[in-house]
Amino acid sequence: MWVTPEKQNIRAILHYTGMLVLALAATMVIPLVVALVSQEWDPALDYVVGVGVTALVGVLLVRMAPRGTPINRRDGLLVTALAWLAASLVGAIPLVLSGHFGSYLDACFEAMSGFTTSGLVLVQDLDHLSNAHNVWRHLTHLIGGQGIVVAALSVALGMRGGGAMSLYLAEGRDERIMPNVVHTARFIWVVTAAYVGLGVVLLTIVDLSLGMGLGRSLLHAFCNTTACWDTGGFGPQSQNSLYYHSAWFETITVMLMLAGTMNFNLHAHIWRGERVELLRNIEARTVTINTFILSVLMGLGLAGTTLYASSGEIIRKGIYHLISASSGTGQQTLYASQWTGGYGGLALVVIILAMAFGGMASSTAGGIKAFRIGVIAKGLLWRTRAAIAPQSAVITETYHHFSKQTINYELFSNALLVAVLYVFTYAAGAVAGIVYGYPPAEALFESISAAANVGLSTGITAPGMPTGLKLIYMFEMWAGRLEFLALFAIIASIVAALVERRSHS
Amino acid sequence: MFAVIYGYPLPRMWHNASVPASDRWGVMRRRHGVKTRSSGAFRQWPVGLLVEVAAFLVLMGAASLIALLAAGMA
Repeated sequence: MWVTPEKQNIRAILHYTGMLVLALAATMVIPLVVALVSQEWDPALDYVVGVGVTALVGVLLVRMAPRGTPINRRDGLLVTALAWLAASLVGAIPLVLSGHFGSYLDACFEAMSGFTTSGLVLVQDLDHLSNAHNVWRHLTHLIGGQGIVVAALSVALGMRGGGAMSLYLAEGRDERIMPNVVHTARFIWVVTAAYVGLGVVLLTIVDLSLGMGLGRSLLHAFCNTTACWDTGGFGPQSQNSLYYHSAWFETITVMLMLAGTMNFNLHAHIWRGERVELLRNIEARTVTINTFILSVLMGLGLAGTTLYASSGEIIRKGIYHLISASSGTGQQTLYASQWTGGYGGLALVVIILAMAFGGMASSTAGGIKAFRIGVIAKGLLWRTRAAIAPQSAVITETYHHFSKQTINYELFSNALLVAVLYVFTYAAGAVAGIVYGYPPAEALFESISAAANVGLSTGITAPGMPTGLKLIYMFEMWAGRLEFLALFAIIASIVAALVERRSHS
Repeated sequence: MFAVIYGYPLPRMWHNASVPASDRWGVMRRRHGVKTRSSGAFRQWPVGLLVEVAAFLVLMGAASLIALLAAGMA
């Protein structure tokens, strides 16, 4: 039986969505300040309009219900699903006013790509984009990466207890790092502050050594740090990481990508001094095994191509792209056309697999996630052992995930279900790309990149791409970020409401 | 920035929910030498950060070596 949302539930959902929109309006002040400091008067006006419209929308939504309205788990799911849509719609306002986007839809695509930490871009003439707009694009990674819901909670919107936890769980983050969600949110922000601070300092030094001025170095360092730590993929230059031609830049950004793809609960355990967890954790082990297997295949694949002249270059570029793909970041040090033109064959398959598998759960990474891959592998082992054991034997399979745990049918089937949904989404997006006339390999690559929130591109994602495909990729980015559950909740609620209205008429 | 948002300095944020709002800055507790349950839980965070960075370097180095060997064999 489907439970239809009552009018008061809808009002509560809109009320909390409005609070998130208001928080977003507050963050838009940051690029406004950057514009004023940089003496970029036109972009400053874009953000004055952006803050005004976003705040107005937020206030209208918040006034739909009184402050402190209770919210249940189902409604929490719907708020989370709507938060990304609302954020993309209002976050696109200053972007479209910049004049660097072909349409409002393109700006919405960019905002959705930013908030979901995907990194696919439709911006035109990126190299001449203002500092303020570049900061805003990368802030969308930071806001979306730490979770719109968690971000809003961390600035203490005044919502605590069960309702807050509903929003947090709805986001696909099921680890309770700290006793309550507000402390969890704060911990996530503190780890973020440490890594972003470290990244900005190191990348500023690298940028200065490359001959950039201090202001530009700081801007680029901030943009690249947030893009890598939040496993986003945007960059301040159209050539992305290729622009820097620096091994130091690549080493530091790979570190940030790996840190960003790590489960926040694992960060918490290591920071508490429980460092052995790094060796025992099922996710850490899965990521390590995945990386090693894919590294072998990458070495074999790239050795058969002529893209790179030396073994050293194969390793430097190959490993960079492998970690960029598996962490769901999407930074690249080659031109889009080189994916199919230069990589080709086995190396391309390795990147596609790395993107599809994704990083760890409860991180900013996308994809199926290492936890599910690990559980599915353990589950297969468990069922295989059970199949060949005597009927009376009780076979158990354990894994370590912050404590010793046993594989059961519910866990195994849930992991399989979400993995199947990801694979289905990857395939559906690829078919759509093929229908629009793109080569199958490129269509599959781009679809996985969107649904796994990676951002690597073979060149399909461009301002001139068909509108239908833009909408499909936006949907894939949204569904992939929400890990389907919140999305299904919103679809089921709409269907239930429609069915009830029909039965009354 | 985070300190401003939360209203108190970063190292102080590990206090638990039982700390009364009136003692947000920990003045009372410091004055009376009271220790909360979770205070100091993340005291080793710089070591943790270094361990993580070292682990990433080892992973990247090992992956590079493996890929180099594979490329060499091919």
